[in-house]
Parts: sequence; structure tokens; C-alpha cells
Amino acid sequence: MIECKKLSRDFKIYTKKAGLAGTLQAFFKRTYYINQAVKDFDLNLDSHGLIGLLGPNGSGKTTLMKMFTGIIVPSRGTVEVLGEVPSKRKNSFKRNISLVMGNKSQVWWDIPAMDSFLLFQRYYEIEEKDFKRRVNDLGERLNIKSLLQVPVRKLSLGERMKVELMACLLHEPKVIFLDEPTIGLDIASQKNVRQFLKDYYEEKKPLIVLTSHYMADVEALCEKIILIVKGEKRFDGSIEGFKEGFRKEKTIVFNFDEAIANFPEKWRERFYCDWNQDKTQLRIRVPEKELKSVTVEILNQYSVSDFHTEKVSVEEVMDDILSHH
Amino acid sequence: MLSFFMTIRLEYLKWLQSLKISLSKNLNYKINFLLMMVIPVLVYFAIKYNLWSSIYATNSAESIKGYTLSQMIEYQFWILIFELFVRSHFFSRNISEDIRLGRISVFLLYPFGFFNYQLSLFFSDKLIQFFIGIFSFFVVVTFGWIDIPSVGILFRAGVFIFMVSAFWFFAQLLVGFMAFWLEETWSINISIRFISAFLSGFIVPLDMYPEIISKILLWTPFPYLIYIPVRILMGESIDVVFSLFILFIWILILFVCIQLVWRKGLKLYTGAGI
Repeated sequence: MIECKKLSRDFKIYTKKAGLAGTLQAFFKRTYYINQAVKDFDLNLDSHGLIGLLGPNGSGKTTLMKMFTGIIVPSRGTVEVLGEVPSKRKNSFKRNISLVMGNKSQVWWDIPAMDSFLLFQRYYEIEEKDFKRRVNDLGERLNIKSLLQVPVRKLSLGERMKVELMACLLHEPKVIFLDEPTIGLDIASQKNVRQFLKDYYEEKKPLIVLTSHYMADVEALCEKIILIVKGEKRFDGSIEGFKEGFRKEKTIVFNFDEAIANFPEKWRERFYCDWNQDKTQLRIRVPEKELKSVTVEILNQYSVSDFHTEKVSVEEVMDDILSHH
Repeated sequence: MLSFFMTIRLEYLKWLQSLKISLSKNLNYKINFLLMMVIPVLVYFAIKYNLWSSIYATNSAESIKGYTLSQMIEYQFWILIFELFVRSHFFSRNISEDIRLGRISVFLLYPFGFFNYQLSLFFSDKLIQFFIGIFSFFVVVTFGWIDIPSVGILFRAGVFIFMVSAFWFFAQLLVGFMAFWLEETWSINISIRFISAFLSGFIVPLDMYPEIISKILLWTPFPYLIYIPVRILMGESIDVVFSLFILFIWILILFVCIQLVWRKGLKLYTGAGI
């Protein structure tokens, strides 16, 4: 459904020194450097699935999305979505995709959302009865039916995001790109949107590609993760594989019968240790190959009432990856 | 055959809805709209009225280059009306802003071209402009400042209004598209307005210029933007076919340029901000 080979995109970035002298200099001779936003990206995705596209800021996630949707043209390499070249911008292609941008509005700002929807109904050639049914259905599920007659600029951020989501789903696209769909939302709204997306996916089974800085989004929604760092693909596979592949340490939690006063210096230096206030609980991060030996040693030396290893979250894995760059 | 008509109908509905949305968008800011569309025209008129009155007074001249004061004022009144019909000076700023801030990304996603969308914006603009023009025309006629021309002349003027509007639409689009390369197109826009004010007869009727200049100008689009249609409205007999032909050629040139610039520009487009 999405296939790209050696996909690359460069940006020419002009630089200017600060101040008037810099401006004058830039007037006569502009200096620039080439930023390779995406480098030799290979990818092959099925016709449905919930895919998380992860990476730090400026790693090329959005550039990739823009190439998948045909907004920008690749510098090198090929990309095909739904068997078509996105940058040709054929209407038949555009009718089957949609892109939600968390920080860019698609619905008109000054008029009620319903007016924008009516426009999309025409643009996407949606039959009257389908349109009515979908507006009703989506409006109910997102709980925004009463807001569709209000000018969009009067809506709160969370409400607007829901309107955006609704707008991009009216034509039931086969491929949906969500760029930061929960950005700036409070916890309750995030959960709301997440649950909605999950239900929508279960029902319609489209291909959804999602970027988010909230790892909770990814953890709750995605079956598969693609990691992009500095424009290059670093991982492509299941969420479990992602955690195992990048997480070389495990966290073990020990509960002790009594407060531990003299914990050996050698461990405190080597491993990340986190004690609770009355020193009866320890969370310790240990490399996988030392897991057994460290556990046995602690069990032997102290009176442990209970211990377990902690499940790693995607967030922790991302933390690790980001701290190495 | 049936599917052909279906396609036509679907396309028509797209245009209609785009037109509706841009109309409601335009009318959302009624005061802003009036200030932008009407006030500058009136201010220009007042300035020119005073300017010419004092020029005639200080020279104590009956006529300057064949224009009496009342003919000059009539000329300026016709410009006022004609300008209200064809004006669209705020258009290119919006386009270049859309490009610079990455707002056109959204239009690249819709299965309705950016160009089509702009055209429907333009039509809705024209529709409102048309009513303002008609209203002003009746006001000026009621006060007896100009005479109502014959139906034939009005028809010819109508064709000019259409062509000149098209010319400005394409010219503004082209300037707007420069935003793919330039940070700011505002200065280009202003320069074009100043140059065209001088060369189109907006300030001085073109037959007041030296003959050689007004002859050369006939091969440029400028005289056809104001001077020629206004002279036609004043009852002058002018070769309409030749005038429209030259104007048409220039519109064609602009059209080709726009296609090239749009295609090249989109390759550079980075969709900033998303």
C-alpha cells in the first residue's frame, strides 16, 4: 500500500549572520547548506494497520509524511502509495488519502465546521445519504454534534482537533496520515481521541500512519513501529521487537523487609538506582546479561519480601535512543 | 453520455460550494471588506479631483491637450467606476502568504485544484465587486456627473471588464507565486501598481504623453487596463477588436508563465510549518 525505495529529500537552507552587516552580506552572497531531511528510506506497508512513525524533532517524520501525501516532491528515489505516485497529485489518489496535521487547520477558521464539511462533500464526491450518516455517526462518537454550527475559531483546541479528525474521515480514506493528532491536548482529550482512533480502526481497517511525541499514543494504538533518526530508518517492526531491540537494560524492583542503610557502592556507581523515601524499595536498572547475577546477589544479601522486573514502556526506549543522539 | 453529465454536475457542485464558502468568508468581515474595496478608490478620486482642479485653475487654461476640466473630471469619474468593477489588489498578498506559511499544503491534498480554488475565490470577489460597481454607477449617474452610455457601449465595456479582470487575476497569481522564491512579494505588487497607474492612464490620460510613448504603449497591456475602456465609455470610437486582441495575447502570456512558475515552484515548495 505504501512502498518506497531509496526515498530521499534534501532542503537547501539559507543562512544569515545576525545583524545589519549579516543582512547586507546575505544580500550580495547568500550562503546555504544542504540538509538531508530523509536519506535512502525503504519501506513496505500493507493495506491496513496502525503504524507509529517515531523519531526525535527534526528527524524527518513530517517530511516523510509530506512525500507520502504528495505535498512535496522527493529529491531522489521512488514512492508509491495505493499504487500511485503521490507527487502527481491525481484526484483519484487524493480521494483515498487524508492527512491530519495537529498544528495546521484544514477546516476554515472563520466559518462553522459544517460549512467546511459541505465543501468536502462536494470535493470528495460523497453521496448525500452517506454524508449525512457519516456526519451523524462521527459527530456522535466524537461528541461534537452541537459544535458543528459554531465558527471554528471559537472552539477550544481539543474541540478543534476533533473537528479536524472528523473532516479528514468524512470520505472514508483508505490511507490516513496523522501528524501529531494529540498535540497540545489535555490528558482526558488525548484519551478520548486515542479511543476514537482505536474504535475507528477496528471498524474500518484502513492504513493509519501516525506520528506523536506522546508515547502513550503509540503504546495504546500502534501495532508496528518505524523509527527514523536523522533521516534514516533505524527500526521497522513490531512494538515488542522495538522494545527488545533498543532496550539493553531491565528494571528490577525489590521490596525489602527493613530499611537498607548500606547499599554497596559498586552497584550505586554502575547502575541507575532509585530508592523510595524510607529505603525499603529499590528500582535498579541492570544490563540484561547481568540481570541474573545481580538479582541473585541482592536476594542472598538482604531479606527481600518481594521482587519483579518492570515492563519497559516505549517512552523509556525512546528516552534511551534520544539520549544517545 | 450519462456519466459525462454526472461528471459535469459533480464538477459544477464543487465550484458552487467553493464559491459559497468564499462568499461567506468574504462577507464575514463586512467592515474590513468595505474599507479595503471602496475607501481607497474614493480617496484616490478625491486626490485627483483636487489636483486637476488646481492645475486648471493655476494655468487658467480652458483645456489642456484637448481636455477641458469637466472632460477631465468625467474621465476620472469613469475610472472610479471601472476600477470598482475590475479591482483585485489584495489577492496576490494572500497567495504569497499562503505559500510562505505553508498554507497551500492543504489545497494540494484536496481533489480540487489550488488553481480552481483561487478562481472560485476570484469569482466570488468579482460578484461582490459587481454589486458595488453597479451601485456606485447609479449614484454617479443620479448626480449627473456622467451620462448613461448606449447599450452597445455598455456591452463593449462589459467585455473589457471581463478581460481586464482576467488579466489582473493572472497577474496577481503570478506575483503571488513568486513567493516560492522570494520572502516577500509585497514590494513587487506595489511596484506593479505604481507602474500601471502611470502607464494605464489612471493618473493622466495617455494621449497627454508624447506621441511616440503612447504609440509604444499600445503594444503593452497597460492602456487596455483603464485608458482604452474609459475612452470607449466616454463615447470615443476605438478599434475594439485590436485592443481586445492585444489584451488577449498578454493574458495568454501570463497564463503560460503561471503554469511554468507553478510547476517549478511546487518542486521547491517545502510546506513550511507542518
